Amino acid sequence: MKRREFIYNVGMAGMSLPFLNPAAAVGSSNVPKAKSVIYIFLSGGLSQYDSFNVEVDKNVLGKSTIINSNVAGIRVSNYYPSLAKQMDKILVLNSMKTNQGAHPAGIYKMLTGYNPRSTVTHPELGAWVNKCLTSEQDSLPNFISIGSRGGAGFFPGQWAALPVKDPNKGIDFIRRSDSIGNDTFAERLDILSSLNRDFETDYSTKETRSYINTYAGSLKFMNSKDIDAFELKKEHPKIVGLYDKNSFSRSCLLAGRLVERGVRFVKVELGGWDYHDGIYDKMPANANKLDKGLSSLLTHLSQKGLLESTLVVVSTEFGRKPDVNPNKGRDHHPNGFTCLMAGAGLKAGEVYGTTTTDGKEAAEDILEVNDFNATIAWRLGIEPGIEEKSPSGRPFDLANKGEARQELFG
Amino acid sequence: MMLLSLLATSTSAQEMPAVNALNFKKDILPIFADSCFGCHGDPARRKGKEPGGGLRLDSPESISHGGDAGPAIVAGKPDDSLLYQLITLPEDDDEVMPAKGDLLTRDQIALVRKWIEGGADFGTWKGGGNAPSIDKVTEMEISQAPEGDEMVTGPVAPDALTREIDQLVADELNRLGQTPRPEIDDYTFCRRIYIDAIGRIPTIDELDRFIEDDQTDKRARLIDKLLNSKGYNSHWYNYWADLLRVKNVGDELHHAGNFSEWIKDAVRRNKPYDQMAHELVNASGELYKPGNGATGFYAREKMPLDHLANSVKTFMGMSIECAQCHDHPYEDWTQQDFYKLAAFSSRTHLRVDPLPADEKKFYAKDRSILKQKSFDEWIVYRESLRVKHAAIYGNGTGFMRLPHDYQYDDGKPHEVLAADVLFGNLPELNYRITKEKLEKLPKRNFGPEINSRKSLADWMTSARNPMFAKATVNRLWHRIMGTELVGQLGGLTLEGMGNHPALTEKLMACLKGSKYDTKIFLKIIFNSRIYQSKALALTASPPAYFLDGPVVRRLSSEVLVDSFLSLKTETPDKFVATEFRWDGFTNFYEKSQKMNVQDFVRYSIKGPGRGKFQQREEREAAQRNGDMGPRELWRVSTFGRDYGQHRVAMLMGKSNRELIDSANLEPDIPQVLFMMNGPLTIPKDGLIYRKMNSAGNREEKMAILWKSVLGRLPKKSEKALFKHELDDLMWALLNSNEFRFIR
Repeated sequence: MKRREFIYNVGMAGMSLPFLNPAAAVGSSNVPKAKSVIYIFLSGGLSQYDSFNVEVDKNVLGKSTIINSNVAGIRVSNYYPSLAKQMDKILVLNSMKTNQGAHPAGIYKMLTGYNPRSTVTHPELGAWVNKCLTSEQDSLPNFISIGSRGGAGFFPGQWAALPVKDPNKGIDFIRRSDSIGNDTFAERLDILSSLNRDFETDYSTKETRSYINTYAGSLKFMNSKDIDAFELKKEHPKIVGLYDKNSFSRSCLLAGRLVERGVRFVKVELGGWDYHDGIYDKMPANANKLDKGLSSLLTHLSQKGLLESTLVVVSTEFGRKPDVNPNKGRDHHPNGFTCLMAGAGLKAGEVYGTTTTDGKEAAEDILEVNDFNATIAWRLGIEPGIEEKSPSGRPFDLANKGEARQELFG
Repeated sequence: MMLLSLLATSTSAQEMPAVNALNFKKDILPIFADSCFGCHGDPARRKGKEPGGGLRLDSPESISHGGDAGPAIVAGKPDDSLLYQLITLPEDDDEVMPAKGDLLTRDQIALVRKWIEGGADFGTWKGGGNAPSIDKVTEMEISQAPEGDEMVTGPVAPDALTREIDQLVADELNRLGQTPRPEIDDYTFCRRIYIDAIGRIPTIDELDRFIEDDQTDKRARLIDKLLNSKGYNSHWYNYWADLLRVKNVGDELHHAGNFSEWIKDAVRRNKPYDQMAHELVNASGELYKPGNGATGFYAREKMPLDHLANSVKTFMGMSIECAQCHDHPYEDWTQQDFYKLAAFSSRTHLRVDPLPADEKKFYAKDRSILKQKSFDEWIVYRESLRVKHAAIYGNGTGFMRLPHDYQYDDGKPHEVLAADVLFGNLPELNYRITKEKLEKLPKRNFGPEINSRKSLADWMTSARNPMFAKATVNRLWHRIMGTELVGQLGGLTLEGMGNHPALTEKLMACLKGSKYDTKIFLKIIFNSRIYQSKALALTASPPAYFLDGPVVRRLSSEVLVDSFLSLKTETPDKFVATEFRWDGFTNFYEKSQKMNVQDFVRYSIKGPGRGKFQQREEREAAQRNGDMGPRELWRVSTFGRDYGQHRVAMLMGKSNRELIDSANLEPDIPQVLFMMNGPLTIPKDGLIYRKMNSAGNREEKMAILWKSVLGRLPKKSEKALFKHELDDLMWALLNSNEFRFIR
């Protein structure tokens, strides 16, 4: 078996072969421009007026000041000096809108496209991508989530994200303990197969075989050459040198390495944006992480020639209010907020959509979550209206009736 | 019969928790009957004399309706209840009640107060003068139920029922020309019953003791012993907690601690399942009040219609959620049916903050001062008030309105619908406004409350509701046999009785006959020949008939993790709680009862911050709970509220409790990597190592290893493996399918 086949055959949670829905593929006139997505999720709610939506009334900006970027006519807040030098690679989406104003519901809506319900859980966008685009040639799982989990909703568990808790350590327990030598491990596996063979003669079921397959898959995963994608020290020093040492930057580095190996959807979470008080004391450190990590990633992808085929998305569950509250913080604001996209043939170096100048509402070219998700799927070559049925037979489509905003691409 | 008395003693011997729900018929009705009905009873019994003050207290409806001076009782609020005000007046007051005869004793008054505080629930009382004992009442009601010949009305004899079930299966097998599957040996039985009854494999001592027992009734005795052990409480708590989805919700609700304590208490006391379900559906009042944790079931859901769909799925095994938005595509339920059912619980809602009036009167000023002063103090103020005030309000108005986008010809958007059940008899509702009148009121108006939610609970859990017993039988059968008897857990139909209707019917009769005593029901099945047959490995295409034995299946996440305890210690169940455990929220709730408005401000200033507030209360709660033992010896059921999720159990597929039945038995890469390379540590001084160290020779050591992990002796063919290192063998056995599956 070629090494790229194993994960498909046995590694995907040992389930039966993933079914490829031919309806998933968009007609040939729409050749996908993105092979992969790096989806950076800023949980807590990024303040748009202290980042990338600064062309509003001055009092809305709070303590933020405005700096110029490398694109004439695009300015950003002073907390993002590194990204200011890369705005030619970025499309700013200033007219995002959601219908959820609390964190768990807002996050759920952003990641799945649906409102949370207690009768069904919906798959995250990454799980849809995983299910629609996984093929026999793939050597690594197509949905990997760094720093958080990524749920498969009502899809079988095999389509959930493979979680990576710490980018410096890679996959949990991917290595056997140092005290167990090669021979000992082989011996253990021999005993195990002998026990399992015996059990199979009497009690073989789909589930017992599924475990045997998943053990085989996990072993091959442990021994796979592609597993070194998770080893950051294997990266070229010039690339590693683009990044600083903090965990978010290291996650971005790992994400870059994974899309280079063909992983379709990598989610990276950077939390902590929920500044209801003391925003100008607490936010700069986090903004600095985003500024450094994301700009390093954009350089990394450009240098490797991957930016053309990778859609980098920066999203958050909602924005923050235009007024600074008495506690010097900003409260939740779903009515008009900001996300970013880069790469994959986007109209980079532009701004799409506006809010009213008092910052209260998204105004021109309003972009709802459903259309946002549809756009990402479409660019990967997935039909946004593709449907799957939940176990009780209710049909759900990927983008929850959203439509791709094709005009965002050149 | 023996078991019945056994259960009774063990229950009463248990320590009663701090607060327990009152039973109207047992606790309150005798007081009313003795002291009130003389003047406020049925006029027919009083020679036609009108009741005093126009008030009758001899039926739930008349109490709710009240007399000339208005309603006698405001559920949840004794101090606002006229009845309570009058019985607590000074002895020399002209208005004090009872006007004739002795005043109520302090204990009686306390009972009435508690009953009103708890929502003034009438239980199964439909009205009537005398107060017969609770057992008699229940028996009467059940025997009156028109259930046909299968209805068991006499005392339950589990042994006889076990035999009847075995006979039914034997006849069916005979008819189909199948031979029964072989009976299992003692080793297999012992492992299986430990797993199914108490949720872990037996320790080697427990296994040896059972094998050495040479009495013929040893299986039956083991079953009784396990059903009455602490391990049972742990294992079955996990089951109900998953079904009822015990979980904190967002930042706002931390009710899971109190909710899980309520379930644990119900399991410890073996509360009849119909009563348990009734209390959940009809729960109201404060969320963090110790003993009132049943409110967690309602609080769990933000959306009332989702909650209704989930209640129906939980207790009746039916999926009606489609009808929430449109007529059900392949069942009979229409959207109107759904909304009519929703009318029973309309206007029931969770409110986390003080009521607006209280807010304005007491708290608003301080709240705004604190908000200006300090975010941390303000948030502690808000959170601490929420712990005191968060509650389920509303008990149903009996009316609902069609949604704004109603699309069918048989109704208009916002049209008023009166409550109706999906099938069976509509309970009588005591409407205080007509449908026509309500129709003319603004579309946000749903009418005054009439306690119709209680009628919904009555209907759902009634012995006359075939779905309640059917769904419960189906669930419990699935839980211990590994496969559904009637149909999909959440996809039953009114007509469907599964492939073996006679068996389904018999088991439903067993359940009803035992008055929904789940222990008796389990005892009946555990003792049966079907349960004690060799497990069946379901192949890809299952045979037409496979009910003659349990199905090979993976251990649930909790059983898998708890089974490691059986390798570590002689007493794996030692730290399962036997009484109410406090958490930061129930602890603070209790404190808050004595706090006045200014106390809350002072408390907030002690701050700082919500996190610290919670930590402080958790510390106090931990002190109240005393020594809970080392975490590494806790069963999974002890984790999962303030102690955080059990990481390994989550990895093994423990339900995240977002949805009903969402535990996962499938493998995935992270799980398998953990099993192969993770810290599966059995300490070197753990039970299994101590046993092996004290063994004489290699053969004995190996026998101990095999018995401890797999619950059986090594086979001859396995002797070839003895040459390997102990640690390598242990690794292989723990990673083997035989350990992970029940056979």
